[in-house]
Amino acid sequence: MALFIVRRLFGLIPVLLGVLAVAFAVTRLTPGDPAEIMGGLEATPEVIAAIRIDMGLDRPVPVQFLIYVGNVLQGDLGRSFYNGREVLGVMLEALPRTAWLAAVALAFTLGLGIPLGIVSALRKDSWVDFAARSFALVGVSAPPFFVGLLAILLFSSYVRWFPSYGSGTWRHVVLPGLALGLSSAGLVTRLTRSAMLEVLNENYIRTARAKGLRRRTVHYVHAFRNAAIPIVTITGLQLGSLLSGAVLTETVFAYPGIGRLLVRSIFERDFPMVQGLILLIALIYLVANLLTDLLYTAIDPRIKLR
Amino acid sequence: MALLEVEGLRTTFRTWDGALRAVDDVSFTVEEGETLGIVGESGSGKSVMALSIMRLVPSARVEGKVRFEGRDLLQLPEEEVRRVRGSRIAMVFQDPMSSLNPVLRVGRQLTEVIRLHSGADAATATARAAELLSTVGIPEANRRLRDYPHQFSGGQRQRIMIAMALACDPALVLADEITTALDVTIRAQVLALLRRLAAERRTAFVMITHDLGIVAGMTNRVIVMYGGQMVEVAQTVDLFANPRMPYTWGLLDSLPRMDSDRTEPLVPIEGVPPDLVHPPKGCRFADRCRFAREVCNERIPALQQAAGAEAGHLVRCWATQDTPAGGWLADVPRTAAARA
Amino acid sequence: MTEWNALRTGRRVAARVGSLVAAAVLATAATTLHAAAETVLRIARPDDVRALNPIRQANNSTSEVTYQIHEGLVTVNPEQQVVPVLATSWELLPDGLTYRVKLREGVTFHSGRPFNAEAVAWNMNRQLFGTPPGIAAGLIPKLGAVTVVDEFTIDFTLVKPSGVFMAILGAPLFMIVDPATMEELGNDGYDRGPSGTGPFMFDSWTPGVNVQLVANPNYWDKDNGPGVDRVIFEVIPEASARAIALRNGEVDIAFAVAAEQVDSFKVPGFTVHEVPSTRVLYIGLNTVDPILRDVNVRRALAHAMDRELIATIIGANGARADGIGMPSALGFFPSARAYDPERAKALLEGAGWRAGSGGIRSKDGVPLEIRVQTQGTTPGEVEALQVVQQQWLAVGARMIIERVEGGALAAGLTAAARAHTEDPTKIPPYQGFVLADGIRTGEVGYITERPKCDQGQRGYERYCNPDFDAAFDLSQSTAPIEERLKGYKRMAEIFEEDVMRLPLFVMQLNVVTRDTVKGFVVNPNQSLSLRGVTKAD
Repeated sequence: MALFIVRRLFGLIPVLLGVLAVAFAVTRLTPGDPAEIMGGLEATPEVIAAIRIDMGLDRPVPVQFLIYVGNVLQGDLGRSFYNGREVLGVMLEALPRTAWLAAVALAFTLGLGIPLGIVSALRKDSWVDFAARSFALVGVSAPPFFVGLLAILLFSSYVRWFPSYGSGTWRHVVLPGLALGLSSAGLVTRLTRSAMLEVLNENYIRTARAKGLRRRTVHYVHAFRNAAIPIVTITGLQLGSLLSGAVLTETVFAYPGIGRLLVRSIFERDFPMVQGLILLIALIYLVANLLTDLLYTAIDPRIKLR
Repeated sequence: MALLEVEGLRTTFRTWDGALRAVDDVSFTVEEGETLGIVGESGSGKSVMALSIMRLVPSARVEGKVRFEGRDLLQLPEEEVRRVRGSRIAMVFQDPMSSLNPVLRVGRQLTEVIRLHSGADAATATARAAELLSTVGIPEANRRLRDYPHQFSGGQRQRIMIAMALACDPALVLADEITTALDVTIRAQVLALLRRLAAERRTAFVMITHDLGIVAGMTNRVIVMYGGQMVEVAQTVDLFANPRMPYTWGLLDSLPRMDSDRTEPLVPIEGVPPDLVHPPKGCRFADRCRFAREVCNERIPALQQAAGAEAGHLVRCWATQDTPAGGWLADVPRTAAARA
Repeated sequence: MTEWNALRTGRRVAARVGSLVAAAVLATAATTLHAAAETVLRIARPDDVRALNPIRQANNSTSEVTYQIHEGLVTVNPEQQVVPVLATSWELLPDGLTYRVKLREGVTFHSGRPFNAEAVAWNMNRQLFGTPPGIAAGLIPKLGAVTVVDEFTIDFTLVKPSGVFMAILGAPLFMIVDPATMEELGNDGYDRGPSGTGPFMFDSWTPGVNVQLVANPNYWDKDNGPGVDRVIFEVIPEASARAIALRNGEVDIAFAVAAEQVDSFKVPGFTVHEVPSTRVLYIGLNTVDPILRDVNVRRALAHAMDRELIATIIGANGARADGIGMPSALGFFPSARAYDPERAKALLEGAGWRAGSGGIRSKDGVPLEIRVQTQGTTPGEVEALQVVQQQWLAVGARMIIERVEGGALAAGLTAAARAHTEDPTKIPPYQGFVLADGIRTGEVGYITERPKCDQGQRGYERYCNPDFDAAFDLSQSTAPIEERLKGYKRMAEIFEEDVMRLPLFVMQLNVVTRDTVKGFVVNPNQSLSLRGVTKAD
């Protein structure tokens, strides 16, 4: 197990190097000169040239890349073109906020999605099932952006339970978390329902019933443990959509996380920041994948770590 | 009083095409320690019948009486029936590969039923589980309790299923095709095990199978089912000596026999089982029966005493009943008729 | 007995709970009192500051904040006049090149260090010769010398005469920072502790969240200083979210309120400030393009545009543009051509563009199609272009709108313009491009420099007319104002004559304040002053 984790972590290194190369290439291939953007329309060519030299943009791209990789290996992700702040520092400021947001969103996703999916499957074709499926459909179809605005109107304008913007306290995370988690919750509801329905038809469930087990035991121990396998997969994959959803949600709620940082950095041609963020997001994905795999083996004994 | 008295059992599923009567008016009794065979092709309703007795077919309407130890299981509250399941009546399913929960340890699957019905503590239940595994012939039982189903062979899993069924010393075990997945040696072992249990513990068995071979060695009485109905009921010895239903003849012919020429091909029964949503008006086997006459297609024969057979040997066949409309095969010995 | 005891115990518990509640209430009251003692002005804006170091950054969203902490020598007031701040007076010495500026005495930086001529000289040097140069460097005319005359007098000696030198210093670009603080903290560290002379002092910056400033108790202008104890610039990127936060009372002022939401705030409790800015959005034309090089085609396109209709369609996003600039700016003269589709058709006919299939004119088999590159990010921009597209179609010209992302647009224009500067045979492939220019000095000259011959890669119009250059130079000269206005007038005439730019609309600033906020004025040039702004409860 430990060996497996170590091996997987080592396996990440070439992937991350590849990501770094792609991120570097992509930022350089995007039209738009960061020095121009930084200087603004008012800057003269001389000023822009000076900014370029200051940013190291005057050197050939391969040299820039080698310097960058060298710095990254030493833990230096460079400085933002935008305001000269350390990329790592800025990311580490934003990361916990997005992590919180994602955690709350995940809590909503699983906390709403799984129970609804189970109830929906157990009461198939009842009104509960219908309601849960409608919720799932709405959740999956409604963009987080829209849900966010709706949530603000409802919970911070009318009932005023939560602030409409900002960050810092748990209250600030509830609404964006809800907005972000809702679509995943819809997906998880549908998935849980279908997984449960499938599992409930399995022979071992019949066996469990024939043993005289209580309904609860049959449903939550025998059936759900099996249904959890696809749910874990999707939840692992959902992390990606949580991150991309965070871009919009963070904008709506003025929540200063990774998503907003990424959008701003791309618009500003803040190469070091964009590269750093791409690296970070790749890392999050890879770690999430690893965790998903580990979780799998915990749930499904038939899967062996190799 | 018999251990189990099934009377007029009907199980009806609702389908898009209409009502499907999978079990149609089945009645029989099982005495304490007795082994009853229920034989039929797949689709004959025998498995559904077993599930109906345990009230494990939630989507179907089950009518009739299932009196077990004096109480009608069909009338009891669900909670009462649940207490009976696994403790007084246990069921062993076919297909051991899929009937054990893949994500739970075998020990857990065994102990949960023990603890549930006996209230034993974890240690006692584990000891009992290990004992059960040993009983069904799985070595190193204590260690293997920690294994998952996929770590066992098919035969071992079937035996674990049996161990699970026996965990609470049930009065009745419904065994559904339990030997299908097993190879010949394992099958012999399993059957020997069941025989021993029946003898030692006075456990009653209902052996559901399509294999008359198993019935021959194991059972006291046999019910042959076809199209959801009982078509022949007899003492096992009688059935083999003097089968009175052309369908049974077919089943016997599809059986490899120790005394017959090994090169002789098995003879499957031609044709397909009847559509139970729109059952035929007459005898359900008439379509496939080489001896059918007009009356067979017109009216369903009653299940009644076969002509020229032991008392209590019942058959649902115009040709072998002593009735005005039929009886044309009443005197024909089975072997001759089959070869005709 | 037992009952009695229970009752007593109960009472005792009740009393204890009671005292606890009382304590809690008192505590709450105390904090409320404390909170009430501090007036907090919350301003919601779409963007965060980029940095708090004004030498490094001075875009609008940044200078709105840094201009509260720092001050310039002069500033441009909402009436677009250049007025003194840290300077008290200035004069052009007889050499025609040297501006002698008297500085305000008794002013201290937030650090407690004194403000003086040395500090100003240090700032000017840092802006012009720092690595990299400061953000104002591109604007400030070439200086031959910066001389400290005495503690509160400084001379700026220009290389070439300029009449707009002080106006340029009035743009929120040249802000005086405390030299000692900057040297101590460094370019990056300065963001953590900026020190200027302004009415508000830095308290905290949480990037992406907010910047908090507190009143400067030692502000030099006792009559017009900070009117609230604390200002919080909140970052709320989404327009709807800003509007909701304002409506909820979570903020007191919302900047950049979406045009479609402006009307909903025209109710008691709110004040809507709809102020045409000094920013004009225009379609620049490549005057060396094979089609657009014909001035009559450019004139025709101008006559085909109904700017009044654009203003109507885009609503609160903008106001009608009559030229390059806006009437309150010094040197503005209308230069846009009147809407006259018949004239447009006649001009095109005269230029040899004949009506063809599908209503599109063509000449020598070339259809009259003009590609217009746009970011499409300014509110109302796309709608305005669609109006023009329809109107051009009515005279037989097709506009092809090409949406380009901001950075890519500027980079593409610059690269093509540079290539053409170096090799005049390389005609830039672009035709029309939508840009916005904003006046920050109070004078139109700030945004009319680009069509000059010497602009190189920044002269996107690829226009060169010595007559225009002469008019521009006159407008920026040290000549008396009447003479300079002649230069401005001439430039407007050339704009009308040669049609290098087609004004679309004047961008409008939509700011909504709660009625508790008093004294708030929106400056059309987007430089923000919070002096004298107060907030009632």
